[in-house]
Amino acid sequence: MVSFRRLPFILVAAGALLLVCGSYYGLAIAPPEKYMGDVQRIMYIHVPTAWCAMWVLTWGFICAIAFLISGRMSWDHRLEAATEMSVLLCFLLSVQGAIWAKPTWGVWWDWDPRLTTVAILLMAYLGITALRHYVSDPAQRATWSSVATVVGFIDVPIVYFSVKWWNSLHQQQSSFRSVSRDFLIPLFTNFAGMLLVVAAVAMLRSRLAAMAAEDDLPPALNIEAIGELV
Amino acid sequence: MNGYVAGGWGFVWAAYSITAVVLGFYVAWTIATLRTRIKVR
Repeated sequence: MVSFRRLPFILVAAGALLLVCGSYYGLAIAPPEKYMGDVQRIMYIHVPTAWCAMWVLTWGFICAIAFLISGRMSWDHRLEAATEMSVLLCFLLSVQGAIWAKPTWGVWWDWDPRLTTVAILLMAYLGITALRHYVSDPAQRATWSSVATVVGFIDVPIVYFSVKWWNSLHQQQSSFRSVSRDFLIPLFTNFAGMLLVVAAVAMLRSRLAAMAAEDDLPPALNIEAIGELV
Repeated sequence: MNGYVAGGWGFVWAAYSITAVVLGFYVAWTIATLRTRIKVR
């Protein structure tokens, strides 16, 4: 039986293996796309990053709501992990998108609805991360960052629907029925791999946040210290 | 040509490399920090 503490490490290893296999298929086996050529291979890493970012952002929103309802600090530790990973994934998404945009659109950046809304999302979550660093009181920090997360999450559906609502350079979501099997295999293999890595790191980062919170408690409030005194 | 983008492997490697480095660094940093904190305890 795999212990719960070892589970994240096994998930990271399995996820990394899937990412290697999916990337190999996408780079070496899948054919180049008819119009974009080899540059389209960026899709096999860009789309999984976008899907994982959406999952992590949604998980952060759930954690924020759960904290505001229950007041349990364990939800704030999960929120800390989700916020940090949201910044990381939105940053990666923007960089990958810029690298793809240059050869296909001719520019690294454009004030396109999809790109702009993702940039707003990145800035919002960077702001929440900064807020968490500057507020020293744990209860106040948890409440403020939860409220900020709920507000920031409003941008997530706007990001998703931006390509449908406005005239965007960014392509709309493709239907899986119209995509070749050779393109779907590396796409979903990389998505599964990245999701495992992201889930595992979220568990580890939450554990780290919980340990840091315990260590930051003043000695009088530390349960172990109370036990020693008694 | 139908808008065909010729070449572009440099862009592909750049996107994959940056993703691998950033994700790899974050995973390694999280595991290393967690291990250090566990050892200190």
